[in-house]
Amino acid sequence: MHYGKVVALENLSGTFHPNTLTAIAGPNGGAKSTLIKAIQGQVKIKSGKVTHNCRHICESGYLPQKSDVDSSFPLSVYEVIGMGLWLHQGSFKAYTKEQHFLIEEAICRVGLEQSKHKRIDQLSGGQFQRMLFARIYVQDASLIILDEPFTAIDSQTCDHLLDIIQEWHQKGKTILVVLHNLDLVRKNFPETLLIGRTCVGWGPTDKVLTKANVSQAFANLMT
Amino acid sequence: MIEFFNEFFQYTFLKRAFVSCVCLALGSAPVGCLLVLRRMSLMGDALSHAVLPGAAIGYILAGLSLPMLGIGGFISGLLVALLSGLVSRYTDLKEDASFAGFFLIALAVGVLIISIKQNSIDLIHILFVSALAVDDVSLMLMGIITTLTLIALAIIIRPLIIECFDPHFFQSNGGWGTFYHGFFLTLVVINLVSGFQSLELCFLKHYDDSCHHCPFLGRAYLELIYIISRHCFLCGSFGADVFLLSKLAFRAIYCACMWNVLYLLFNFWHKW
Repeated sequence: MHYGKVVALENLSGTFHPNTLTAIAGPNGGAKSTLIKAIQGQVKIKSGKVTHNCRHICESGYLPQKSDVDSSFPLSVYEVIGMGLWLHQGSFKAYTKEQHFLIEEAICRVGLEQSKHKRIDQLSGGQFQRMLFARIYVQDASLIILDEPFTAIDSQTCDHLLDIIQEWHQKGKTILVVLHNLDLVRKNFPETLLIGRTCVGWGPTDKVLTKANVSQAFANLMT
Repeated sequence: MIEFFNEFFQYTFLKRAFVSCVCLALGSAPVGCLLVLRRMSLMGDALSHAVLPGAAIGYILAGLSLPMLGIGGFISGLLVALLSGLVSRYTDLKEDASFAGFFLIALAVGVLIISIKQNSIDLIHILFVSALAVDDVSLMLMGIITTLTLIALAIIIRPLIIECFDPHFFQSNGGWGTFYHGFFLTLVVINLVSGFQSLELCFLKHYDDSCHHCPFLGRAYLELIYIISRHCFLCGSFGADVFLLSKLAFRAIYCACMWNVLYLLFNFWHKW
């Protein structure tokens, strides 16, 4: 994968097995977000291929980094969560009773009952992230991709969101999470892909996140 | 009050101007509002300059025919919009920067074409016209454009808003982001052409001699309506509360009103 003439990521091949919970870890600039964009087909790959089992990649639930979302847009929390049903709704359909129920359920699950009619620019960072989680909850996709979901979030919200991720895992979904915090990865994620411009390690977390591997990932970026 | 309106509406050109302003307000307000929400508010201004070369070529080919000027303007405006959209998607340049580049080139080309054609007084008059010069054909064109805009927006509003709020989510859910963006830019351009039928392209003002015998208050009232319509386009103010309740829109309404009051005061002072 390239950004202009710079090689962002090379020599990576492998499979994210169904029903796995994988953390994609690595230093800043290690091409974690680029990998995710490539998986979704938003970045073109110079050589190689991405294949997936979903009928279409659009069945993936995606949580963007907060900077990629216009958080001052005049929408209510309810409307944003309802966006998760976009594939079923298209341009015209109104929400059915079941869909309203699903949205309410998602709001309760992330604990935003008090603020569901608030405008999104009135939300705190943590509430905003909960809202984006609720949108994925509503989507009910088989592949879930989260891009740095715990940046600038307090520990309580973080634990709550981790619970939701575990719940999705138990439901049999395939989850990829981009993360910086290696302690968080060690505690909560059974599988890890460690990248620093190239694949440094991929497999069970305790075998991948060794001291040698981590320092190699950082060293790759220095050269 | 009724007398005032009777007096006002006894002139056909005033009636036409009034209807054209209403058309413009209905179509341009939602488009303007979305422009603001997409952080492209300066684009209305940039694109209005981009219309110039096409209008100039239309003039050379067909003389002073508003529909031909409109079609020429539409093509050149669309070209500039799509070119800058493409440049910003495929290079490191941001959209505002590429717009600034392209619209200045377009403006320069337009002025060049106008000055090559020697007898350009009439064209300059048309390019910076007042709302009172609208004829039946232009009025029809504006009506059609307004109707098309409202129908198109009703169809694409949901994907447009999702794409605007969170483009990555939209793309990862199989949405055609580039298509909707291009479609929206097309709407912006046709509304500009519609505005160009009645409002001046740049911020210059020329009074048509033929309207000097109509009552001053009538003229002032009309000025007010069409300045507001213009602001609708630039600020997305008029009807914005119907469309999307946004603090931004209220702020815009406030600014537009203040600006209009100042403008009218200036006009009064200038006239008397």
